[in-house]
Amino acid sequence: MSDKSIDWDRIHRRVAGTGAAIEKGFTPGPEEVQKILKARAGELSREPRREEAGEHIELVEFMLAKQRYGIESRYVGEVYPLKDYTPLPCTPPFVLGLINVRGRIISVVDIGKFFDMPEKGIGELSNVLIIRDDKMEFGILADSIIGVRKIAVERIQPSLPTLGGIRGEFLQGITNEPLAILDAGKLLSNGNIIVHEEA
Amino acid sequence: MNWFGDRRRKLEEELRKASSYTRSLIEASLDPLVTISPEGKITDVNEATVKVTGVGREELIGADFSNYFTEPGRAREGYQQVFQQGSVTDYPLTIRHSSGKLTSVLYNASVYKDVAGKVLGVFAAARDITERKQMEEELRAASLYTRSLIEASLDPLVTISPEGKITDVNKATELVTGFDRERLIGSDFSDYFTEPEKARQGYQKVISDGFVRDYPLTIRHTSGRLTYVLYNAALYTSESGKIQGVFAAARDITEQRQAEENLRAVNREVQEAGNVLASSVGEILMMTTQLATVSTETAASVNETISTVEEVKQTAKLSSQKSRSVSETAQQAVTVAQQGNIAVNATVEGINHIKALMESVGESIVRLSEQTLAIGEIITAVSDLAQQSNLLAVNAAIEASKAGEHGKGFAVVAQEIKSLADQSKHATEQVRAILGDIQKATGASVLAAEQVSKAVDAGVMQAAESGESIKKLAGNIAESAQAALQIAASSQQQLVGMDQIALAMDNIKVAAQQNVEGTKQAEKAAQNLNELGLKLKEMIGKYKV
Repeated sequence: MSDKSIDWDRIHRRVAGTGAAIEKGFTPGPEEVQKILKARAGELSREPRREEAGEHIELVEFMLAKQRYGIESRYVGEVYPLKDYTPLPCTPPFVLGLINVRGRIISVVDIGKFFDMPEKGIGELSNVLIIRDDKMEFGILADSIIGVRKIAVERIQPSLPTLGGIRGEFLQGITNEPLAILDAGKLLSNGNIIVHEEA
Repeated sequence: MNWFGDRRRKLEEELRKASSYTRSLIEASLDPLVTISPEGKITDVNEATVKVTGVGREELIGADFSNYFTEPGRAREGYQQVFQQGSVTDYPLTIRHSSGKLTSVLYNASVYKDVAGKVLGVFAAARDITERKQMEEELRAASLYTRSLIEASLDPLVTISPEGKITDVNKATELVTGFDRERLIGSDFSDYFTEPEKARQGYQKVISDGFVRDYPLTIRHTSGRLTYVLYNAALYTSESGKIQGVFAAARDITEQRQAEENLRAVNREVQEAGNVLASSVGEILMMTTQLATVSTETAASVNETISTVEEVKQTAKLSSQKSRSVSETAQQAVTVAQQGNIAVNATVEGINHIKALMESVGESIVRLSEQTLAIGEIITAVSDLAQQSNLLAVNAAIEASKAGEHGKGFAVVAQEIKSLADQSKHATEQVRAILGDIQKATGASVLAAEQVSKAVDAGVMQAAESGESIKKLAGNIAESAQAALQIAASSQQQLVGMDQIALAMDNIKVAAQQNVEGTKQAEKAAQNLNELGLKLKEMIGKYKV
């Protein structure tokens, strides 16, 4: 132990250094400032991506069960964090429950369950995409919201023939990323998703 | 008879010469004389006849002769025999006295004739043989006495004919042979011995020499029992010197032989004892010689011991000095131990201080850990905010896209906000990772602090033990100092003791020299004893049974 005697001076210097850094409130040093500015300059100097010619659509991308999905942004009212919801009894399993978004009561549908996909459960970062048209409005459960992007229509390929059944039916198309583009119009107009209480 | 014949002739002559004179002679005869007629009537008697019958002369004359005898018939036969034969000699009869007393007599009688030769009667003279008979009785009694003496003799007695046949034996002979008298008498004397030839030679020697003395023979009993005897024998001869036989008396010497055997055994034992004595004396002699040697050696050893005692004395002196110096050193050691004890107490105090500091360090680390928890909570809130910002950015983008061409600039801003939100989120994740590291480090620090605390506890205990050990050491050293002092004192006493031993050794030296002298004397005494033993042996050798 004696041969490994502690260098108290060094420890004192280190502690003092840390204290000073905290005092400064993490203000980046001159070198760091230069670095950041340089990065920003680089980024700004980059030529903005040319808008692809031809027709394109705008999508809101989201993740569900490790699968990337997209929905046309014209159907998306807003995205909303799923804080707490009220389970609705006597409903099919794909109906998660009801949420209150600024005074409006909106039902939330787990399209994973609706499509018979493997369950992932509700993560901490679960969000809701609220889709709507002039007749219908409901929320789709999403693991995470990626963002809004434009995509050329020509890149969209028709649905894979192997994806038959209900999944094929509600798919607008896929890209090579792969990104599955859901047909929100069909989802909104589909009767299966509406719970007929009188039935 | 001669006497009687002469008498008769004389009587006849006297009768012829002077009848009266003869008459007086007849009367004077002590023998009862009587004349008997052929008819058996008494014709005349003398005074002796009157006395022996107790009957008067007048009454006797004319009475029957046979009336005065115990056996009248025999009396009658007697005088008739005289008449027939002319005389009888020593015809025994018994006269009965009128009082009943009997007188044994022998009659000698003859006829007397007249000149013409005519038988006139019988003249009978009785000789009183009562005394003689008595003598004969006595003789017989004496003979019987002798016989009974012979019979009573415990020695086997025997008479042997010149031919070697047994003629008489006593009871003892019957007993010793196991045969009865009838069987013995007439048998060969030599048949009853284990060595018949020797027995034969024995009695032949008697016949030739007249006697034998202590002739040893062994009689065999019918049962096989042997009796050792010594024979003493002599010839007996008739009056004329003719050899009648041998009278042999045996003396049983079985017991004597036994006694001799015993004596011989005793003698042997004595002889052996003499031998043992001789050899023992020899050993004693040897031992005394050895003792003499040993005594000399002892004397030498004593001398060596005296010099050793001197050496020990020197050693004791040295050890006295040494122990004194040990005592001084021990005193110094006690002082050092006391200082050590003080140092240990100071150490314990120091360690306890370290312990207190260490506890406060642990406390600080724990507080630090709790503060990182607070940072974590803040970071969670920041992360949440970043998340919400992200969603807001997305919503802004959606709204921008709905605005169409007018919303294009807004969309860029929304994108920028989203990027910031993402960066914020990333930063919070980094902070969270750092917080995790800090948590781990504090855990390790707390553990280390705990170990230090425990080590300090152990150190305190060890220091206390060291203090205790030093205290004990101090005590022991004090005891050692005490012991060293005692050793010094003992060494002094030892010196005195050694002087006493030296004195005692001188005495022992003198005693040892005396011992040597004494041993020499003992050796001499043993030699004398040895000579004595040899003499005894010689004497015993001379005395043979």
